[in-house]
Amino acid sequence: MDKLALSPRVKPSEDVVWRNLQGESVLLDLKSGVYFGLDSVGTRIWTLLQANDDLNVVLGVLLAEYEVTEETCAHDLVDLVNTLEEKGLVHTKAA
Amino acid sequence: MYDILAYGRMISSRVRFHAYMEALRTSIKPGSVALDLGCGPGIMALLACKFGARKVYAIEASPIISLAREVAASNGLADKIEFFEGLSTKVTLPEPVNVIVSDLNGILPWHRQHLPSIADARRRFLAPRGVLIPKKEVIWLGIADSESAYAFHTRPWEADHGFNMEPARLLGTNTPCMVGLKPDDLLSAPQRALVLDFTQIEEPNSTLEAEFVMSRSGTAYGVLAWFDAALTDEIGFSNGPGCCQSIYQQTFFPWTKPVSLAPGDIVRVKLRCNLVGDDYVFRWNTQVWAQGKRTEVKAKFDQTDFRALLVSQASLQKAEEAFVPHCNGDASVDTFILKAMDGHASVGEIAAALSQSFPEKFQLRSQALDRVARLSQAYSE
Repeated sequence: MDKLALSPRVKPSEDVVWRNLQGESVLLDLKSGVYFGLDSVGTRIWTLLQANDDLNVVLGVLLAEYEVTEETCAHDLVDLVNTLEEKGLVHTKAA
Repeated sequence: MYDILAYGRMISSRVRFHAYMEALRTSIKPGSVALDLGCGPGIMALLACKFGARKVYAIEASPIISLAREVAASNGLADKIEFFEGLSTKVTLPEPVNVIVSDLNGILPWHRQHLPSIADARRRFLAPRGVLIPKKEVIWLGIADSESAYAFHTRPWEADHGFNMEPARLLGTNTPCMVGLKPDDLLSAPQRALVLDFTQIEEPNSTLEAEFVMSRSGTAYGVLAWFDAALTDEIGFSNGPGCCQSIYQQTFFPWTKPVSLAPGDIVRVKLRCNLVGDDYVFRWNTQVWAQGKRTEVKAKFDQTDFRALLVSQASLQKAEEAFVPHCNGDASVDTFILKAMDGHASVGEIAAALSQSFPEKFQLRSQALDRVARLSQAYSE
Protein backbone atom coordinates (compact mmCIF):
# COMPACT_ATOMS: atom_id res chain seq x y z
CA MET A 1 0.00 0.00 0.00
CA ASP A 2 2.94 2.33 0.57
CA LYS A 3 3.82 2.58 -3.06
CA LEU A 4 0.23 3.38 -4.05
CA ALA A 5 0.30 6.29 -1.65
CA LEU A 6 3.61 7.53 -3.00
CA SER A 7 2.96 6.97 -6.68
CA PRO A 8 -0.70 7.18 -7.48
CA ARG A 9 -0.18 8.33 -11.09
CA VAL A 10 0.42 5.49 -13.48
CA LYS A 11 1.07 5.80 -17.19
CA PRO A 12 1.43 2.86 -19.57
CA SER A 13 4.79 2.94 -21.34
CA GLU A 14 4.83 4.19 -24.92
CA ASP A 15 7.05 1.22 -25.71
CA VAL A 16 4.23 -1.23 -25.09
CA VAL A 17 1.66 -2.42 -27.59
CA TRP A 18 -1.10 -4.78 -26.61
CA ARG A 19 -4.02 -6.72 -27.93
CA ASN A 20 -7.05 -8.30 -26.38
CA LEU A 21 -7.71 -11.95 -27.02
CA GLN A 22 -10.99 -13.31 -25.71
CA GLY A 23 -10.99 -11.16 -22.62
CA GLU A 24 -7.31 -11.52 -21.83
CA SER A 25 -4.36 -9.49 -23.11
CA VAL A 26 -0.93 -10.00 -24.51
CA LEU A 27 1.45 -7.07 -24.08
CA LEU A 28 4.58 -6.67 -26.19
CA ASP A 29 7.45 -4.50 -25.02
CA LEU A 30 8.78 -3.07 -28.27
CA LYS A 31 12.17 -2.29 -26.76
CA SER A 32 12.93 -5.74 -25.38
CA GLY A 33 10.71 -7.83 -27.66
CA VAL A 34 9.33 -9.60 -24.56
CA TYR A 35 5.67 -10.69 -24.37
CA PHE A 36 3.62 -10.48 -21.19
CA GLY A 37 0.17 -11.85 -20.40
CA LEU A 38 -2.68 -10.34 -18.40
CA ASP A 39 -5.72 -12.25 -17.19
CA SER A 40 -9.20 -10.79 -17.47
CA VAL A 41 -8.92 -8.62 -14.33
CA GLY A 42 -5.44 -7.46 -15.31
CA THR A 43 -6.79 -6.64 -18.75
CA ARG A 44 -9.56 -4.55 -17.21
CA ILE A 45 -7.01 -2.64 -15.12
CA TRP A 46 -4.74 -2.14 -18.16
CA THR A 47 -7.70 -0.79 -20.14
CA LEU A 48 -8.63 1.59 -17.31
CA LEU A 49 -5.03 2.82 -17.11
CA GLN A 50 -5.15 3.78 -20.78
CA ALA A 51 -7.89 6.26 -20.04
CA ASN A 52 -7.00 7.37 -16.53
CA ASP A 53 -3.65 7.62 -14.79
CA ASP A 54 -5.14 8.12 -11.29
CA LEU A 55 -4.98 4.85 -9.37
CA ASN A 56 -7.66 6.01 -6.99
CA VAL A 57 -10.08 6.41 -9.89
CA VAL A 58 -9.13 2.96 -11.21
CA LEU A 59 -9.69 1.56 -7.72
CA GLY A 60 -13.13 3.14 -7.59
CA VAL A 61 -14.17 1.59 -10.91
CA LEU A 62 -12.92 -1.83 -9.86
CA LEU A 63 -14.82 -1.65 -6.55
CA ALA A 64 -17.99 -0.86 -8.49
CA GLU A 65 -17.48 -3.72 -10.92
CA TYR A 66 -16.16 -6.53 -8.72
CA GLU A 67 -17.39 -8.00 -5.46
CA VAL A 68 -14.27 -7.39 -3.43
CA THR A 69 -13.29 -5.48 -0.32
CA GLU A 70 -11.49 -2.18 -0.79
CA GLU A 71 -8.45 -3.47 1.08
CA THR A 72 -8.08 -6.59 -1.08
CA CYS A 73 -8.73 -4.69 -4.28
CA ALA A 74 -6.20 -1.96 -3.44
CA HIS A 75 -3.64 -4.57 -2.45
CA ASP A 76 -4.06 -6.52 -5.70
CA LEU A 77 -4.04 -3.32 -7.75
CA VAL A 78 -0.79 -2.17 -6.18
CA ASP A 79 0.71 -5.62 -6.66
CA LEU A 80 -0.12 -5.56 -10.35
CA VAL A 81 1.10 -2.00 -10.85
CA ASN A 82 4.36 -2.82 -9.07
CA THR A 83 4.86 -5.85 -11.30
CA LEU A 84 4.09 -3.82 -14.41
CA GLU A 85 6.53 -1.15 -13.27
CA GLU A 86 9.26 -3.70 -12.57
CA LYS A 87 8.86 -4.97 -16.12
CA GLY A 88 8.97 -1.43 -17.52
CA LEU A 89 5.41 -1.65 -18.81
CA VAL A 90 4.15 1.37 -16.85
CA HIS A 91 5.74 4.45 -15.33
CA THR A 92 4.60 5.85 -12.01
CA LYS A 93 4.96 9.28 -10.54
CA ALA A 94 3.74 11.17 -7.52
CA ALA A 95 0.56 13.16 -7.98
CA MET B 1 10.31 -14.38 -49.51
CA TYR B 2 9.84 -13.11 -53.05
CA ASP B 3 9.01 -15.33 -56.03
CA ILE B 4 10.43 -14.90 -59.52
CA LEU B 5 7.47 -12.76 -60.59
CA ALA B 6 8.17 -10.29 -57.77
CA TYR B 7 11.83 -10.07 -58.78
CA GLY B 8 10.63 -9.54 -62.33
CA ARG B 9 8.45 -6.63 -61.22
CA MET B 10 11.42 -5.05 -59.47
CA ILE B 11 13.58 -5.23 -62.59
CA SER B 12 10.68 -4.00 -64.72
CA SER B 13 10.24 -0.91 -62.55
CA ARG B 14 11.97 1.41 -65.01
CA VAL B 15 12.42 4.40 -62.72
CA ARG B 16 13.99 2.31 -59.99
CA PHE B 17 16.12 0.24 -62.34
CA HIS B 18 17.50 3.19 -64.29
CA ALA B 19 18.27 5.09 -61.11
CA TYR B 20 20.24 2.13 -59.76
CA MET B 21 21.99 1.66 -63.09
CA GLU B 22 23.08 5.29 -63.25
CA ALA B 23 24.17 5.26 -59.62
CA LEU B 24 26.35 2.22 -60.30
CA ARG B 25 27.69 3.71 -63.53
CA THR B 26 28.89 6.83 -61.71
CA SER B 27 30.16 5.01 -58.61
CA ILE B 28 32.08 2.06 -60.06
CA LYS B 29 35.60 3.03 -61.07
CA PRO B 30 37.97 0.83 -63.07
CA GLY B 31 39.29 -1.81 -60.72
CA SER B 32 36.60 -1.22 -58.08
CA VAL B 33 35.49 -4.02 -55.81
CA ALA B 34 31.72 -4.05 -55.25
CA LEU B 35 29.24 -5.82 -53.02
CA ASP B 36 25.67 -6.59 -54.10
CA LEU B 37 24.00 -6.93 -50.70
CA GLY B 38 20.87 -9.10 -50.95
CA CYS B 39 21.55 -9.69 -54.63
CA GLY B 40 18.30 -11.46 -55.59
CA PRO B 41 18.74 -12.65 -59.20
CA GLY B 42 22.02 -10.70 -59.32
CA ILE B 43 21.25 -7.87 -61.71
CA MET B 44 23.19 -5.25 -59.73
CA ALA B 45 26.23 -7.55 -59.63
CA LEU B 46 26.02 -7.92 -63.42
CA LEU B 47 25.78 -4.15 -63.85
CA ALA B 48 28.77 -3.59 -61.55
CA CYS B 49 30.82 -5.94 -63.76
CA LYS B 50 29.60 -4.17 -66.88
CA PHE B 51 30.73 -0.80 -65.48
CA GLY B 52 34.26 -2.02 -64.80
CA ALA B 53 34.37 -3.65 -61.37
CA ARG B 54 37.41 -5.88 -60.92
CA LYS B 55 35.52 -8.12 -58.52
CA VAL B 56 31.96 -8.33 -57.26
CA TYR B 57 30.77 -10.13 -54.17
CA ALA B 58 27.09 -11.00 -54.00
CA ILE B 59 25.34 -12.05 -50.81
CA GLU B 60 21.84 -13.52 -50.68
CA ALA B 61 20.07 -15.55 -48.00
CA SER B 62 17.20 -16.84 -50.11
CA PRO B 63 17.29 -19.69 -52.67
CA ILE B 64 17.14 -17.14 -55.53
CA ILE B 65 20.94 -17.16 -55.26
CA SER B 66 20.98 -20.36 -57.34
CA LEU B 67 19.40 -18.43 -60.18
CA ALA B 68 21.85 -15.55 -59.69
CA ARG B 69 24.76 -17.99 -60.03
CA GLU B 70 23.24 -19.43 -63.20
CA VAL B 71 22.70 -15.98 -64.67
CA ALA B 72 26.28 -14.94 -63.86
CA ALA B 73 27.60 -18.06 -65.57
CA SER B 74 25.33 -17.47 -68.58
CA ASN B 75 26.96 -14.08 -68.97
CA GLY B 76 30.52 -15.34 -68.63
CA LEU B 77 30.92 -13.72 -65.20
CA ALA B 78 31.14 -16.78 -62.98
CA ASP B 79 34.79 -16.00 -62.17
CA LYS B 80 34.21 -12.32 -61.53
CA ILE B 81 31.17 -12.59 -59.26
CA GLU B 82 31.66 -14.53 -56.05
CA PHE B 83 28.46 -15.56 -54.29
CA PHE B 84 27.86 -16.06 -50.59
CA GLU B 85 24.68 -17.82 -49.54
CA GLY B 86 23.33 -16.77 -46.15
CA LEU B 87 22.74 -13.73 -44.00
CA SER B 88 25.25 -10.96 -44.71
CA THR B 89 25.81 -10.52 -40.98
CA LYS B 90 27.26 -14.06 -40.91
CA VAL B 91 29.46 -13.61 -43.97
CA THR B 92 33.11 -12.55 -44.03
CA LEU B 93 34.43 -11.09 -47.28
CA PRO B 94 38.03 -11.65 -48.33
CA GLU B 95 38.69 -7.94 -48.92
CA PRO B 96 37.10 -4.52 -48.35
CA VAL B 97 34.81 -3.20 -51.07
CA ASN B 98 34.62 0.24 -52.67
CA VAL B 99 30.89 0.14 -53.41
CA ILE B 100 27.98 -1.50 -51.58
CA VAL B 101 24.74 -1.57 -53.53
CA SER B 102 21.53 -2.83 -51.96
CA ASP B 103 17.80 -2.62 -52.23
CA LEU B 104 16.48 -4.31 -49.14
CA ASN B 105 13.48 -2.04 -48.67
CA GLY B 106 10.00 -3.28 -48.35
CA ILE B 107 7.47 -0.56 -49.14
CA LEU B 108 9.22 1.31 -46.32
CA PRO B 109 12.84 1.02 -45.17
CA TRP B 110 11.72 -0.67 -41.95
CA HIS B 111 11.62 -4.11 -43.44
CA ARG B 112 12.99 -7.22 -41.77
CA GLN B 113 16.78 -7.00 -41.25
CA HIS B 114 17.29 -4.24 -43.86
CA LEU B 115 18.72 -1.54 -41.59
CA PRO B 116 20.89 -3.81 -39.37
CA SER B 117 22.27 -5.47 -42.52
CA ILE B 118 23.29 -2.15 -44.08
CA ALA B 119 24.86 -0.90 -40.85
CA ASP B 120 26.78 -4.16 -40.44
CA ALA B 121 27.95 -4.24 -44.07
CA ARG B 122 29.09 -0.62 -43.90
CA ARG B 123 31.08 -1.26 -40.73
CA ARG B 124 32.72 -4.54 -41.79
CA PHE B 125 32.99 -4.46 -45.58
CA LEU B 126 33.19 -0.88 -46.84
CA ALA B 127 36.66 0.52 -47.52
CA PRO B 128 37.49 4.06 -46.32
CA ARG B 129 35.87 6.60 -48.65
CA GLY B 130 33.72 3.78 -50.06
CA VAL B 131 30.28 4.43 -51.52
CA LEU B 132 26.91 3.23 -50.26
CA ILE B 133 24.02 2.94 -52.73
CA PRO B 134 21.49 4.12 -51.59
CA LYS B 135 23.09 6.84 -49.53
CA LYS B 136 20.00 7.99 -47.68
CA GLU B 137 16.22 7.96 -47.70
CA VAL B 138 13.86 10.76 -46.74
CA ILE B 139 10.59 9.63 -45.22
CA TRP B 140 7.45 11.68 -45.81
CA LEU B 141 4.10 11.57 -44.07
CA GLY B 142 0.76 12.90 -45.27
CA ILE B 143 -2.92 12.73 -44.35
CA ALA B 144 -4.88 10.71 -46.87
CA ASP B 145 -8.34 11.43 -48.17
CA SER B 146 -9.01 8.21 -50.04
CA GLU B 147 -12.22 6.36 -49.39
CA SER B 148 -11.24 3.62 -51.83
CA ALA B 149 -7.98 2.90 -49.96
CA TYR B 150 -9.88 2.77 -46.67
CA ALA B 151 -12.67 0.61 -48.03
CA PHE B 152 -10.15 -2.12 -48.71
CA HIS B 153 -9.61 -2.36 -44.92
CA THR B 154 -13.18 -2.00 -43.73
CA ARG B 155 -15.87 -2.62 -46.33
CA PRO B 156 -15.77 -6.44 -46.34
CA TRP B 157 -16.57 -6.35 -42.62
CA GLU B 158 -19.26 -3.69 -42.79
CA ALA B 159 -21.36 -5.39 -45.43
CA ASP B 160 -24.76 -6.58 -44.34
CA HIS B 161 -24.06 -10.24 -43.68
CA GLY B 162 -26.38 -10.19 -40.69
CA PHE B 163 -23.48 -10.65 -38.28
CA ASN B 164 -21.34 -8.39 -36.15
CA MET B 165 -17.92 -8.47 -37.83
CA GLU B 166 -16.43 -5.67 -35.73
CA PRO B 167 -13.48 -7.82 -34.51
CA ALA B 168 -12.47 -8.41 -38.13
CA ARG B 169 -12.87 -4.72 -38.96
CA LEU B 170 -10.58 -3.93 -36.02
CA LEU B 171 -7.88 -6.12 -37.53
CA GLY B 172 -8.44 -4.49 -40.90
CA THR B 173 -7.94 -0.97 -39.58
CA ASN B 174 -4.77 -2.04 -37.79
CA THR B 175 -3.23 -3.37 -40.98
CA PRO B 176 -1.06 -1.04 -43.07
CA CYS B 177 -0.89 -1.79 -46.77
CA MET B 178 0.55 -0.58 -50.05
CA VAL B 179 -1.49 1.90 -52.08
CA GLY B 180 -0.90 4.07 -55.10
CA LEU B 181 -2.43 7.48 -54.33
CA LYS B 182 -2.16 10.80 -56.12
CA PRO B 183 -1.11 14.20 -54.74
CA ASP B 184 -4.79 15.25 -54.78
CA ASP B 185 -5.51 12.51 -52.25
CA LEU B 186 -3.63 14.46 -49.56
CA LEU B 187 -5.51 16.88 -47.30
CA SER B 188 -2.49 19.05 -46.53
CA ALA B 189 1.11 19.57 -47.50
CA PRO B 190 3.17 16.45 -46.71
CA GLN B 191 5.75 16.63 -43.94
CA ARG B 192 9.36 15.52 -44.21
CA ALA B 193 9.39 13.36 -41.09
CA LEU B 194 12.79 11.66 -41.04
CA VAL B 195 16.06 11.22 -42.90
CA LEU B 196 17.72 7.82 -42.74
CA ASP B 197 21.39 8.38 -43.49
CA PHE B 198 22.80 4.96 -44.34
CA THR B 199 26.37 6.26 -44.05
CA GLN B 200 25.74 6.78 -40.34
CA ILE B 201 22.81 4.63 -39.30
CA GLU B 202 23.21 2.20 -36.40
CA GLU B 203 19.77 2.11 -34.76
CA PRO B 204 17.16 -0.12 -36.46
CA ASN B 205 14.21 1.56 -34.73
CA SER B 206 12.72 4.91 -35.64
CA THR B 207 10.09 7.31 -34.38
CA LEU B 208 8.55 9.75 -36.83
CA GLU B 209 6.46 12.70 -35.73
CA ALA B 210 4.62 15.21 -37.86
CA GLU B 211 1.94 17.84 -37.41
CA PHE B 212 -0.39 18.91 -40.18
CA VAL B 213 -2.62 21.94 -40.45
CA MET B 214 -5.44 21.15 -42.82
CA SER B 215 -5.52 23.34 -45.88
CA ARG B 216 -8.87 22.11 -47.16
CA SER B 217 -11.91 20.29 -45.86
CA GLY B 218 -12.39 16.62 -46.50
CA THR B 219 -12.61 13.24 -44.89
CA ALA B 220 -9.34 11.84 -43.62
CA TYR B 221 -8.96 8.08 -43.61
CA GLY B 222 -5.41 7.59 -42.40
CA VAL B 223 -1.74 8.40 -42.71
CA LEU B 224 0.28 7.96 -45.85
CA ALA B 225 4.04 7.26 -45.72
CA TRP B 226 6.58 7.09 -48.50
CA PHE B 227 10.26 7.62 -49.17
CA ASP B 228 12.57 9.46 -51.52
CA ALA B 229 15.66 7.35 -52.07
CA ALA B 230 18.90 9.22 -52.72
CA LEU B 231 21.07 6.57 -54.36
CA THR B 232 23.87 9.14 -54.72
CA ASP B 233 23.93 12.90 -54.18
CA GLU B 234 22.55 13.40 -57.69
CA ILE B 235 20.54 10.27 -58.48
CA GLY B 236 17.39 9.04 -56.79
CA PHE B 237 13.75 8.14 -57.09
CA SER B 238 10.56 8.55 -55.11
CA ASN B 239 7.58 6.35 -54.37
CA GLY B 240 5.47 9.33 -53.34
CA PRO B 241 1.88 10.02 -54.45
CA GLY B 242 1.78 10.26 -58.21
CA CYS B 243 5.10 8.44 -58.65
CA CYS B 244 3.41 5.11 -59.27
CA GLN B 245 5.99 3.94 -61.76
CA SER B 246 8.06 2.70 -58.82
CA ILE B 247 7.27 -0.82 -57.66
CA TYR B 248 6.96 0.29 -54.06
CA GLN B 249 4.18 2.90 -54.05
CA GLN B 250 3.13 4.24 -50.63
CA THR B 251 2.16 2.74 -47.28
CA PHE B 252 -1.30 3.55 -45.96
CA PHE B 253 -1.85 3.42 -42.20
CA PRO B 254 -5.66 3.46 -41.85
CA TRP B 255 -7.41 5.10 -38.91
CA THR B 256 -9.92 3.40 -36.64
CA LYS B 257 -12.62 5.68 -38.05
CA PRO B 258 -12.72 8.30 -40.81
CA VAL B 259 -12.59 11.89 -39.51
CA SER B 260 -14.19 14.93 -41.17
CA LEU B 261 -11.65 17.71 -41.21
CA ALA B 262 -12.01 21.41 -41.83
CA PRO B 263 -9.36 23.95 -42.81
CA GLY B 264 -7.38 24.86 -39.70
CA ASP B 265 -7.84 21.52 -37.97
CA ILE B 266 -4.59 20.09 -36.68
CA VAL B 267 -3.55 16.47 -37.00
CA ARG B 268 -0.58 15.14 -35.06
CA VAL B 269 0.88 11.78 -36.00
CA LYS B 270 3.49 9.69 -34.27
CA LEU B 271 4.69 6.60 -36.10
CA ARG B 272 6.98 4.16 -34.35
CA CYS B 273 8.82 1.40 -36.17
CA ASN B 274 10.40 -1.23 -33.91
CA LEU B 275 12.29 -4.31 -34.98
CA VAL B 276 10.99 -7.19 -32.88
CA GLY B 277 12.51 -10.57 -33.71
CA ASP B 278 12.88 -10.69 -37.46
CA ASP B 279 10.37 -8.04 -38.51
CA TYR B 280 8.94 -4.68 -37.60
CA VAL B 281 5.98 -3.77 -35.44
CA PHE B 282 4.40 -0.45 -36.37
CA ARG B 283 2.47 1.75 -33.97
CA TRP B 284 0.72 4.88 -35.17
CA ASN B 285 -0.85 7.36 -32.77
CA THR B 286 -3.08 10.09 -34.08
CA GLN B 287 -4.58 13.10 -32.39
CA VAL B 288 -6.88 15.58 -34.10
CA TRP B 289 -7.73 19.01 -32.72
CA ALA B 290 -10.52 21.17 -34.07
CA GLN B 291 -9.55 24.56 -35.43
CA GLY B 292 -6.17 24.51 -33.75
CA LYS B 293 -7.67 24.47 -30.24
CA ARG B 294 -5.52 21.99 -28.31
CA THR B 295 -8.27 21.54 -25.77
CA GLU B 296 -10.82 20.42 -28.35
CA VAL B 297 -9.89 16.84 -29.23
CA LYS B 298 -11.76 15.76 -32.31
CA ALA B 299 -10.30 12.27 -32.58
CA LYS B 300 -7.65 10.16 -30.95
CA PHE B 301 -6.42 6.78 -32.17
CA ASP B 302 -3.74 4.41 -30.93
CA GLN B 303 -3.13 1.64 -33.45
CA THR B 304 -0.62 -1.07 -34.11
CA ASP B 305 -0.24 -3.91 -36.57
CA PHE B 306 0.51 -6.10 -33.55
CA ARG B 307 -3.30 -6.21 -33.16
CA ALA B 308 -3.64 -7.41 -36.73
CA LEU B 309 -1.47 -10.49 -36.47
CA LEU B 310 -3.47 -13.57 -37.27
CA VAL B 311 -2.24 -15.66 -34.39
CA SER B 312 -4.12 -17.73 -31.88
CA GLN B 313 -4.36 -16.76 -28.26
CA ALA B 314 -2.58 -20.00 -27.33
CA SER B 315 0.29 -19.29 -29.67
CA LEU B 316 0.85 -15.76 -28.35
CA GLN B 317 0.61 -16.95 -24.76
CA LYS B 318 3.37 -19.47 -25.43
CA ALA B 319 5.67 -16.55 -26.22
CA GLU B 320 5.01 -14.80 -22.91
CA GLU B 321 7.93 -14.39 -20.56
CA ALA B 322 6.17 -16.20 -17.74
CA PHE B 323 4.97 -19.16 -19.83
CA VAL B 324 6.47 -22.50 -18.81
CA PRO B 325 6.83 -24.58 -21.99
CA HIS B 326 6.46 -28.33 -22.05
CA CYS B 327 7.44 -30.34 -25.12
CA ASN B 328 4.63 -31.89 -27.14
CA GLY B 329 4.79 -35.06 -29.20
CA ASP B 330 6.16 -33.28 -32.26
CA ALA B 331 9.18 -32.17 -30.26
CA SER B 332 10.18 -35.76 -29.56
CA VAL B 333 10.03 -36.49 -33.31
CA ASP B 334 12.27 -33.53 -34.13
CA THR B 335 14.63 -34.38 -31.25
CA PHE B 336 14.93 -37.90 -32.63
CA ILE B 337 15.78 -36.59 -36.11
CA LEU B 338 18.27 -33.98 -34.89
CA LYS B 339 20.08 -36.58 -32.78
CA ALA B 340 20.23 -38.89 -35.80
CA MET B 341 21.85 -36.16 -37.93
CA ASP B 342 25.29 -37.23 -36.74
CA GLY B 343 27.24 -36.88 -39.97
CA HIS B 344 26.94 -40.58 -40.82
CA ALA B 345 23.29 -41.45 -41.47
CA SER B 346 21.62 -40.36 -44.73
CA VAL B 347 18.22 -38.68 -44.94
CA GLY B 348 16.77 -41.99 -46.13
CA GLU B 349 18.31 -43.94 -43.28
CA ILE B 350 17.08 -41.43 -40.70
CA ALA B 351 13.60 -41.53 -42.25
CA ALA B 352 13.57 -45.34 -42.03
CA ALA B 353 14.56 -45.22 -38.36
CA LEU B 354 11.95 -42.52 -37.75
CA SER B 355 9.16 -44.65 -39.26
CA GLN B 356 10.24 -47.54 -37.10
CA SER B 357 10.28 -45.49 -33.89
CA PHE B 358 7.05 -43.54 -34.57
CA PRO B 359 4.94 -45.88 -36.71
CA GLU B 360 1.68 -44.20 -35.68
CA LYS B 361 2.91 -40.80 -36.95
CA PHE B 362 4.60 -41.95 -40.15
CA GLN B 363 2.57 -44.58 -41.91
CA LEU B 364 4.03 -43.64 -45.28
CA ARG B 365 7.74 -43.50 -46.03
CA SER B 366 7.20 -40.21 -47.90
CA GLN B 367 5.88 -38.58 -44.69
CA ALA B 368 9.03 -39.54 -42.77
CA LEU B 369 11.28 -38.45 -45.65
CA ASP B 370 9.54 -35.08 -45.85
CA ARG B 371 9.94 -34.45 -42.13
CA VAL B 372 13.63 -35.40 -42.12
CA ALA B 373 14.31 -33.43 -45.30
CA ARG B 374 12.87 -30.25 -43.79
CA LEU B 375 15.11 -30.50 -40.75
CA SER B 376 18.08 -31.43 -42.91
CA GLN B 377 17.51 -28.31 -45.01
CA ALA B 378 17.26 -26.13 -41.93
CA TYR B 379 20.03 -27.55 -39.76
CA SER B 380 22.57 -29.56 -41.76
CA GLU B 381 25.80 -28.24 -43.24
